[in-house]
Amino acid sequence: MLEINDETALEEAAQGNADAFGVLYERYVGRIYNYIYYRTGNPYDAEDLTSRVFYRASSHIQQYRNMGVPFSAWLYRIAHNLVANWHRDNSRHQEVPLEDDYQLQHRSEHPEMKLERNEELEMLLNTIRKLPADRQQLIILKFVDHLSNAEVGQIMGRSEGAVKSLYHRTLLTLREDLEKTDSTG
Amino acid sequence: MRETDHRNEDLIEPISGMENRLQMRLTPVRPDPEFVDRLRKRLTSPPDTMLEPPTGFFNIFLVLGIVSGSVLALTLVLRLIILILDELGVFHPKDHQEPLAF
Repeated sequence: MLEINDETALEEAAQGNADAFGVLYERYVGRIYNYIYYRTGNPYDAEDLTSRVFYRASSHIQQYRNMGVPFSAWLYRIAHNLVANWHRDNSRHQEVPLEDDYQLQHRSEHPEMKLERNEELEMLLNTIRKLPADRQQLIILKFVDHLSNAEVGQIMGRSEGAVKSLYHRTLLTLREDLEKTDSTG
Repeated sequence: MRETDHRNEDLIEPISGMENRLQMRLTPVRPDPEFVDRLRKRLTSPPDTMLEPPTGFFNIFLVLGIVSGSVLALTLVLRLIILILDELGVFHPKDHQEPLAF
């Protein structure tokens, strides 16, 4: 079952085949979780929002078929919207820095998530999270999920050239912001 | 080397530096396997568990619906009471007649 391609799995999932949806889920849950984890900064919200992404996908799978974008892009768009809502709902609360988050919420079930606590990582993530949402999305899709500009374009609804341009501007901005942080810190 | 080439190098250099920095620091994480299994079971089990959990937006609609329904029900009950009282002549007594004027 795991060998079937997305298109076949989607057709079967749309006809109510839960196992086919399970195949798609297994294929993309890690990538979606990663994206949400880096956007929210903690594993609990990442799990909650990842669940919502797949619930929404399973309940709207028949509507997806006419949208003309890859299934993965559709999932990322759902994730992006849910993360945006999450940020809006949590805008009054101060975000927990990733480093503190590990100290407070360490769980033995997450061995791979025990990133080394490191000042540069914290500073980098804090600076990234101050960027506009679309630029944060771009950085995570490029560096965490290792997607091409064309794939990022499908997810963000932009042309490949527009993604490339945004990518350059984002890295330059990020560099400037980090230099400011370095000089003040 | 032309001036534009220098400009391009000036742009590429900081970008490649940032790229290296990001590639080194932003490493993929793996979700808790128990969470992945639990969610897969819920997603692939019978349809009654496939409903999306209520969101904040859904809750607002739910509260608005309950409030609107309550107001409507209260209005109907009040109108019914007024109608009954009116039929019983509470507001316009039927046996009350104006005295004849001579």
